[in-house]
Amino acid sequence: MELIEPIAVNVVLGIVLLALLIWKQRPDDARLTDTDEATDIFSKHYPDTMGTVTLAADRRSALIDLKSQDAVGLLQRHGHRWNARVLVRGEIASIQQEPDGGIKVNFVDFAWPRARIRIDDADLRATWLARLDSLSANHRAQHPSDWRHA
Amino acid sequence: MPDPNYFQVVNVAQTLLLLLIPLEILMASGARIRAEYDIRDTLANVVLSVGSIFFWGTFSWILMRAVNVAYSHRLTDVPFTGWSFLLAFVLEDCRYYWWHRISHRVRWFWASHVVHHSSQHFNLSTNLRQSWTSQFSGLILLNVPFAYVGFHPNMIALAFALNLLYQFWIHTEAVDHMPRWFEWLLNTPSHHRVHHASNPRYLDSNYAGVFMIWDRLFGTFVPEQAGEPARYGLVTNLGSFNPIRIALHEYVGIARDLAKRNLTLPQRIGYFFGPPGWSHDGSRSTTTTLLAAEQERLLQSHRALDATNTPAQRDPPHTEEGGRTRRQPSLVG
Repeated sequence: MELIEPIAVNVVLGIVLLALLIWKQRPDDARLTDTDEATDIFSKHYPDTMGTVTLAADRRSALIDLKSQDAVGLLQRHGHRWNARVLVRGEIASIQQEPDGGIKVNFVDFAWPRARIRIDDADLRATWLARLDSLSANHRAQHPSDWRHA
Repeated sequence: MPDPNYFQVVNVAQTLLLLLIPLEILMASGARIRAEYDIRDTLANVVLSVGSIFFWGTFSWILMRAVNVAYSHRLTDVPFTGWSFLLAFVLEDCRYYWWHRISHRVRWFWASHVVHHSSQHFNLSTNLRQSWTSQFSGLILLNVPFAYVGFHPNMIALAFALNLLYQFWIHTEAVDHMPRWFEWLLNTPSHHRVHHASNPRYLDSNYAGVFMIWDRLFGTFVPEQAGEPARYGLVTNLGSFNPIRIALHEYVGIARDLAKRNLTLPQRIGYFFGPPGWSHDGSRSTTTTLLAAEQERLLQSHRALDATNTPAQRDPPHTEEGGRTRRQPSLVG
């Protein structure tokens, strides 16, 4: 019974905060303006790691070719912040290609379960699918052209 | 023993402090103060707070049993006076410092405390983001020796509650700096921003609860640098607002590491009691390796600066205010 009072206070507080934030909060419309901005943000997290950036079509995420066959950089909007990660072999559980050009990546990481990156250019998408697949736990050793027709 | 009314006062104060959260949101929306809220982050904080209260309340008997057993075998009786309570408060703050420091340096304890650091925002609602497993980690038993010495369990509980109460206001970006003497003696929003930052030079610093003297004394004090704003969160941030993932992710990580094949017993122990980021093959980064990489980058940038500029053109090295400091953010000086 002693717990009910503080829990009730927190529940009421949660409702008040929810209402306030819906009322007062500006929508998060942040987009990556260009590859330079993506590089800047990524380098704050990984200063020694640079590569070639591919922006997602919605500019809410980016993949970074780190010039190493064993790692890929990922930048993704998470709430009002940018999350960055270097993905290495075994960190990707599975990859799915979606009909609208999206790549759905399921991670092994319990704390970052999945990411979705839409790349409109079919060739570029196929290249990235093959690259990400090579890092997955169930690597199928497909050629980019196989992904193009997947 | 302390009058039970003291606890009533603390409870009321806690509830009143919670009202500062909506006030911070309102003032920030009018651009009167600096504070950033994200709706999903804040809701996760509230859910984690409810879970924390539930688990803390349900399993508090573990700590109470241990404290009561120790008190029943006490060495002496410490009377409840102003001076003895002041002593209890200072000792409790020292206990908090070491609890906090161990919580950051040993992965098993970090798995519990990481919850509080997992937000990439730093505002008054960050107070609510608390662990669900603090009663189970075992570190809570650091409270027990006070009872064995002879401090009444209620005196320990009151000192503990006041310590946590003090820490509410330091989770904010709205307060820049307090007066110099205050910053020297007590924990402040500036010091605690550093503690919640993931910038390499700020990692594993400023563990104090109330008095900064512990960090100055034990070499973990790092001041906030104007040129380096804190980047809040973890070295590797979470990609989910799901409270269950936030509360348990490090335990899942430990379990996965322990399940790896072909590990020796010391390696398995390392994944359990080593520092966060430790790995048997050195493939991950710990605070030590991150700091070493940061020092190397600073060294290289200084060398580059030396090669191109005259001494007068260079920025003066950052200097720190008085007191012992753990590390010099600049390699010069």
